[in-house]
Amino acid sequence: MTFDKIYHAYKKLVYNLALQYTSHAQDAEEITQDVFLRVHDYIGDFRQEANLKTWIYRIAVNQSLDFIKSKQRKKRSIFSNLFSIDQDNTTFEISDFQHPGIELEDREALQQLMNKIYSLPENQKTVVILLKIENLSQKEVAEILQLSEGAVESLFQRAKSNLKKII
Amino acid sequence: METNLFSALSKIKQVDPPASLDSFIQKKIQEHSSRFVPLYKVAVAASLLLCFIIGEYFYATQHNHIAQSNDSLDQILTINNNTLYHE
Repeated sequence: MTFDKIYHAYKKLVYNLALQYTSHAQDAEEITQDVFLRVHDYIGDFRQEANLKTWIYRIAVNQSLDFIKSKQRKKRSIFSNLFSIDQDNTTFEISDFQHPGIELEDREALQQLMNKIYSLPENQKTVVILLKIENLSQKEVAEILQLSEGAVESLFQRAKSNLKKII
Repeated sequence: METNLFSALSKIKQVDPPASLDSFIQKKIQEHSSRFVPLYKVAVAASLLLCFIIGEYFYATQHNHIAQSNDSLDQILTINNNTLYHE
């Protein structure tokens, strides 16, 4: 499969997954670009016996998490430079919620829920996004995260109980 | 409870990425590729440099050899022949 074919087959998947992580169209575009740059660079190393979709999902998840981390780091350094305070407890909260997949009437409720999901630890957040927004099966999520199905289930239960505590 | 908690997430729709994304990615890949020098170019440059160093070494040793052959002992040490004065 050539890079062009892969790009056209998976660009929607990658863009939407990045949107679920950032709720920001421009950030999602940036993540999508980085994901396909990696796919372009490493397509030669991709083992044919592995599932291409799983591989691309894995790159997209990692790239999204890295993007969020670097954005948080930048924010933190600006804050600490301005106010000379340690911002260790800051969580990723979207100030400009621009999710094109969310209707205006649902925006407020979903923004609140997404902010709660974003405050979860990385692996719990990923499990919720993949299972409940991307509607993947537990087996698929386990393959993407290279975990057992039991581990995915336990992460999901922990995410659920953490969300209940916050809400 | 679970359905209540996550039911709102089903309202999130899948969207098409903007058309501009294609050209941005193409541009990014081109920029990324141009940043790397192909391995064959590095190999050619390295072999040329190696040839130059070897050539320089041979030239230097050869030149040194000729110079050494010219340096005979009588050119280095001045031998005064004062025998006439005693005669």
